[in-house]
Amino acid sequence: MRFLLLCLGLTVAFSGRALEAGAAKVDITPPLGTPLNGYGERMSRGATGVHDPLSARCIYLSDGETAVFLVTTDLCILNRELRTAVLERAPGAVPPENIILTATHNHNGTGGLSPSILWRSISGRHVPEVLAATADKIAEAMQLAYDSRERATIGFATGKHTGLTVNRRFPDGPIDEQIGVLRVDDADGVPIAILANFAAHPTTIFDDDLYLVSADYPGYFYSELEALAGEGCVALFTNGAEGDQRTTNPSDAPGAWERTEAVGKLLAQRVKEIANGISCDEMTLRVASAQPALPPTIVSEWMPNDVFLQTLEINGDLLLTFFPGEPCVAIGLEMRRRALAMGYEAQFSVGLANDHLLYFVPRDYYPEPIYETGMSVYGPAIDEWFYGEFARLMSRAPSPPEPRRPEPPAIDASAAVPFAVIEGDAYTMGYRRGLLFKEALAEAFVRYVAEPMEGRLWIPEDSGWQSWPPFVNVSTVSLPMLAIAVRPGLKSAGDAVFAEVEGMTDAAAMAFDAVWLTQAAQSLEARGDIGGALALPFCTVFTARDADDAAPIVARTFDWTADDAPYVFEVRPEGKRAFLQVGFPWAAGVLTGINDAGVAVAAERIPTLGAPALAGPYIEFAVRAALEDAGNRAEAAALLQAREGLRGYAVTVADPTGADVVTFGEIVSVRPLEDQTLLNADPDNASLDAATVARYERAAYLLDDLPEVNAENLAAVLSDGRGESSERDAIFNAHTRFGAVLEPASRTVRMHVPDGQGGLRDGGVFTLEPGAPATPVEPAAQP
Amino acid sequence: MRYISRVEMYKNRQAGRAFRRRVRNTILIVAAVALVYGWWSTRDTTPRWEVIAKAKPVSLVIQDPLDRRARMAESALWNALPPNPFVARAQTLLAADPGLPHWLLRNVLGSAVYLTAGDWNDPESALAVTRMTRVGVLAERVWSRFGGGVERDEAGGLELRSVEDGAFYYAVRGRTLVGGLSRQTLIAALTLAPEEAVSPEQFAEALGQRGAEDVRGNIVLDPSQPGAEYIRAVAFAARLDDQDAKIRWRIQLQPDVERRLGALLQPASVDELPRPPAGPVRIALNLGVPLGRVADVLAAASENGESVWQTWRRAPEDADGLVPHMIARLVDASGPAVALSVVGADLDEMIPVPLLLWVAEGDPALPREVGDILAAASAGALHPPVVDAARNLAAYPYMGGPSLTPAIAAYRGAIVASNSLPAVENYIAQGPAPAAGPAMAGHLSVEVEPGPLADILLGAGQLFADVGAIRGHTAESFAQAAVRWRAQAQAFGTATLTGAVNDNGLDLELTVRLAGAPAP
Repeated sequence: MRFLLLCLGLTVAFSGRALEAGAAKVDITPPLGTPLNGYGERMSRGATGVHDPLSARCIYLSDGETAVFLVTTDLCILNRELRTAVLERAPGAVPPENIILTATHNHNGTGGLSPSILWRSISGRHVPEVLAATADKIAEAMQLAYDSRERATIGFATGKHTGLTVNRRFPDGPIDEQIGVLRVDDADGVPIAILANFAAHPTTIFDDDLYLVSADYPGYFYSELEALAGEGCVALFTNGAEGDQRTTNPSDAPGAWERTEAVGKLLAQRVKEIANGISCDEMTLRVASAQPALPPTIVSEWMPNDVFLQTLEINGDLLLTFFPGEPCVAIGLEMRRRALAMGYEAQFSVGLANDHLLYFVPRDYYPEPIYETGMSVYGPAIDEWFYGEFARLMSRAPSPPEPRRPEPPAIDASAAVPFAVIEGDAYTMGYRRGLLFKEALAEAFVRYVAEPMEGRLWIPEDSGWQSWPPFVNVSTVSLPMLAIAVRPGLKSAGDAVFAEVEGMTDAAAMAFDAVWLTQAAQSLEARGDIGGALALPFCTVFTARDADDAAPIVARTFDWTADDAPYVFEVRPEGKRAFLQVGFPWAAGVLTGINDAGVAVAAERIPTLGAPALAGPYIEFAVRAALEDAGNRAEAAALLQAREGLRGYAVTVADPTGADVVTFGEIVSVRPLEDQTLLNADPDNASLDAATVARYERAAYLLDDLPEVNAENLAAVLSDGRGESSERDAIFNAHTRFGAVLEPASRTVRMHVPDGQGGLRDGGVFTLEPGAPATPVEPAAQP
Repeated sequence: MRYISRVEMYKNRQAGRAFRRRVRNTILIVAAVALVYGWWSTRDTTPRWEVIAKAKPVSLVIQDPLDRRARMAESALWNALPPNPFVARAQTLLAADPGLPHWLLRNVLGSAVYLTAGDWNDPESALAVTRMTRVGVLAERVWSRFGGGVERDEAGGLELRSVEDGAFYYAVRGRTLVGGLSRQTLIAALTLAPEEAVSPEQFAEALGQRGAEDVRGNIVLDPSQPGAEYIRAVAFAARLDDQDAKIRWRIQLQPDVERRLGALLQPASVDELPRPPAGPVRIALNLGVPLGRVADVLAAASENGESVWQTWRRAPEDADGLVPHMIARLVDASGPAVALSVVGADLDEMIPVPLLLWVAEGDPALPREVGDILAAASAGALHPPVVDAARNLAAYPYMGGPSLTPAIAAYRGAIVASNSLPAVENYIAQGPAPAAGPAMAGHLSVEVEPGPLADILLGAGQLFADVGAIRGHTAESFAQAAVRWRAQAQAFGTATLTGAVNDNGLDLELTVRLAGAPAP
């Protein structure tokens, strides 16, 4: 009796876990005239013919506890509006959070599905009736799959392809050779459905066929695989981490369609080979989903701030991660590496699932001026964000590590100029700056970047952007375009700066692009010469010494319209020289500083010498790199001179033995300190503007009359002005934010701040401990 | 006790009578003197034209200001206007209690107020001139002497008066009151040389009432003002009623412009303009000459216009120039009478577009000719032009969908064209659906229905606001504001501008009518 009860119990238990599956496909080919999605060159014109039909394909799976609809569609993207429309129509057999919708990313599929005006140039005019009809048919495929459900078994395997894909952006870049296969059999072992996972853009159709409806190579894949697998088997295709992957011409076919056909058929044949090796069994299903907040983006007006994420696990051994957009292959490969390290037997990355947040590029792509990066809007850490968020959904993932939360440094406000020590690795230093100056950073972005863009101050007069009526906020598009344009500046700034800006971003909870644009704001404004807040047309920098063998002293005023108060930071980057940075709370770059080898650097913008390049290098980070790496002024000068593309600046570089001025004009020139004084700008230079000449002539006159060269007397020269006058020909003027006297021999910075009565007063004395002896430094290699 | 005889009593009575007589006579004499003084001192010694410079480019006349003030203040149009400081200020001024009895104000302001200014944009250059009654003159004297707040300003004998510490200056000469915001402007008016003042005839001409207008004026444009390169002077008259407002302009063009546009400025009598198709914006034009001739003259009159227009006219070698060429062909094939309407909008197009529908007398061979040109210039195109001989229709898939597919067809002796192929097809299939109401007279009419037009504009605006492209608005704030703007627009029924060319220039008349207002 007990045995009978045990058998009954087991039967009931197993029957409750019995796998059921069904599969179906429905034609979703739109009517002719419907715009196609994928290429802007179509100018939204409608389809003129059908080369091959589009379909929605669905597998219904249920293990008795968990039911899933896995839907693939021959669409370029699966946008949010379509998902909403489908969920409104979906059969109730599966809860909405277990409905997985994916697109194959064919570029000859239905357009007009997005109402957003920004995407219509690519996806075509909005056609609400086509959106509704497409959603109806997808829901119909789900219903048919559900209605055809039967007892089933399931299995999976991975294999490799050879030569079907290449990295479309970098010839030697990574590719994903894996083909993932999921096979679903009926109770008799006959395939109900075979699903393939393969990473490559279906963008094989051009020119005369631009307006033909086609599923691209997945269309050939379906027909070939269904022919090979037999009647009743539904072939499904999911695209992988295809952001930078495209197909090859594996059979050297002469025409476009032949090539498309070859890729589809070869893929189908390979998939069938892999599927033949799969032994199916009853397995369990696990779907996990979440709606996490996305990293901040600079385009928050037109991109979402959260997203629906899903994972599907089969028997706890196969992991499918569904990306709501187009991850580049490196992200897919890293996702797999991590999954396998957690013990999964296999992992498929499925792109274009449930939503379309454009491209996701790995961090090291972020400074690259390539299309995929230009279409990536959630910052350089989006790869890590996905790894972390998917890990929360995975049954095998260990508890996520605690995020790094460095403490903010203490601020010493005993002097007029506050002081803080910033130390640690680059990210930590940035995080600490971000913690300290969160508000200042956000305010600086608004004042120095967002407002000039919205006010069109940074847009050239002859630009088409200026022709829009004033009520149109062109910065909604022009600002992200600028952000993309300056990302390459991260390369010349160096990886440490990149990491430091990431730290600032995380601590300040701002968009990375917003923080980086703020760091580059001075250079961007200098390009336009618009005379805005950060223009630096009238600083005064000079070096003096008493005798040829005496140690020089560098002194400078720092003038700009922005009214930020200065700080002095002692920066101690890991593995680099420590230095004192005289700057502003929101800036990681350096225009005035001295390092532990006594190398002092002071930069000044000279507009008549030209303008810096949009994509860098930026002067602040060139100076910073010189301070971090140089053991003497010759090394510092060499490091600066190696920065190709710098224009429009004069930089004084000094150490205890002498000083030079490196001038970045049409050519880079160096003027050494030969006598007792060295002016950063030579007043005899005919190209200088009159105000600059006047300031430096005045400085030369005052320096000639100095009874003795010391910090106090040089500070007096910095105070020479016309009271509250805003005249730019005065050394001290209404725009002077601080004066600084740098003494290389003692590694000391003496700060002076406006006293409110037309001069400067003591702002504090800051000295750096001596560092390691100078070691030769090779100039940084140019990217 | 004193005894008073009868004789004494008689003498006393006689003395009392004499005293009273003397008092009465004195009073009568004083009254007579006062009357004579009042009459004498309030005589109209200084005609108003003597303080009005003839060189002033801006002049306005407000007739019966007090009577009109109440009617204007009560107009429902004020409530329909969007709230802004100017509207609020104007409404407040009209409705404000002046603090003086109505009869007194009437005596001070007289029957008309003449306003003049040297610069339309400079309130300090403005002067108001009125002719007070004798009572008004006397009242001003009493008020300025005893009312407080008025200070005497000798000004070298000019005897100015300053109100509220220089906020307003005025002077009285006879029964003429002249005042303004600027002391210098007032002094200049009071010291005007006779040859610099307007003549009595000019003044009488300016002052005369011509119709039911509330305000009438003339503006001679300064060369630095916008539009001055085309317009020399504008005369206008305006009236504000409870449910509508009307303003008329007579525009005098600059001689150079008159010369350049001469061919279009020949007065031609047009009894009836064509009735445009129904829609939120309707335009009808008939200058009595074929439209191609109008285009020729306008192109020749504008900088670079001639070369651009001739380029458009030339048959293009490729698809790039097809749309401009279609427009040029359409214009050249159209007769003098043309109607153009915005019949709707397609907000789902690649870019939101209005649906324009053009109906004109014209050559029915045009669609076939255009079809041939389209076919030749876009040979091999993936989207070939539509050439439908049966319907006499040609269309070119320029970009986007049907609403960006310009089309031309011939239908019942008219040429029908649109940026939207379906709009033309609908017209052909369903026949003309002209707007209700009588046809307009004149050479030009523009009718706008603000409510439906606002629906189009705000619908398009919301699409831009949804992506953060409207300054100062999020998607949500724009949607909220749009509700308010839409309600304001819907308060108006129509705005109609009619125009006619005559010997003296252009006559324009704008009528704004509230929704539900009775037809004129």
